[in-house]
Amino acid sequence: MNSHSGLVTRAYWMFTFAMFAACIVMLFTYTPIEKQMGLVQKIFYVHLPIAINTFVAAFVVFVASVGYLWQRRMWWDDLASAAGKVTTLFCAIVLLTGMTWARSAWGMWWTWSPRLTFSLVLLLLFVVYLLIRPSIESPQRRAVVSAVYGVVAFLDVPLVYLSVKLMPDIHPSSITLEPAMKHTLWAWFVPVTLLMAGLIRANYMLHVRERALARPEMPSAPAHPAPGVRLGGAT
Amino acid sequence: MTSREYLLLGYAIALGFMWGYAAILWLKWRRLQRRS
Repeated sequence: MNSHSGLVTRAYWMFTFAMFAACIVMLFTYTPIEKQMGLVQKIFYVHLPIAINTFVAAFVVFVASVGYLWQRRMWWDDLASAAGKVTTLFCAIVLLTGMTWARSAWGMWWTWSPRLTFSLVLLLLFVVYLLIRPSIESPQRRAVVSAVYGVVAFLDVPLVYLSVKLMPDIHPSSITLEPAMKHTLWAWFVPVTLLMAGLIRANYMLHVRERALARPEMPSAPAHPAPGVRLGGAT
Repeated sequence: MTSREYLLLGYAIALGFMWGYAAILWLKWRRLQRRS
């Protein structure tokens, strides 16, 4: 990484961190307390942006998987793998923050409502995605199997999204927020989205670096070839 | 647990997991930089 791109990366992460700090301050000084659920409703401002970004990361897996199946370039597989890890992490956080909220608001950690069930299925699908990758040794075969699996796993995302609209669920199908609550929600989308994109990029760069280090070094050409030996050139 | 404690637990999980993972990736990157 050259010094310019290193500087940009550092500025990106510092800005993301600063945005998180600003959003936390906003949450405790500006955002009103919801009357029915009380203070715990404020989990919503981090819960929803992470949930939406889970869908975005899963969509990146889908696009990269289709891209690999179409072009057979390894960088598509690196991108799919990077996004798959972030999807798994974000999906786990959505479930855990939702459970914390549910325990306080409704007195229970979990209920088998359609959205929660499809969200758990999404998490399990991506955990399996991460488990099958290292179990396949051939990089090409791993990329093909992961790409097909990635496309199929993404099909659960519309089910998670549409479940509250199509079936009775504890999640509301639409929500009305006061202006100050809307501002807080939009503000939280910024750092969470930046962090999601940053984590996918960081993971991708690690894959590329690991691949470069794992590649065996090419034997260097002799400075003075033996008579009659041609180096390179069209034959 | 009070409503405030559940709120803090929720944010601790969300921020701790996200930034913890970012820190792990940063450490991995540094280890690879040293190897190359």
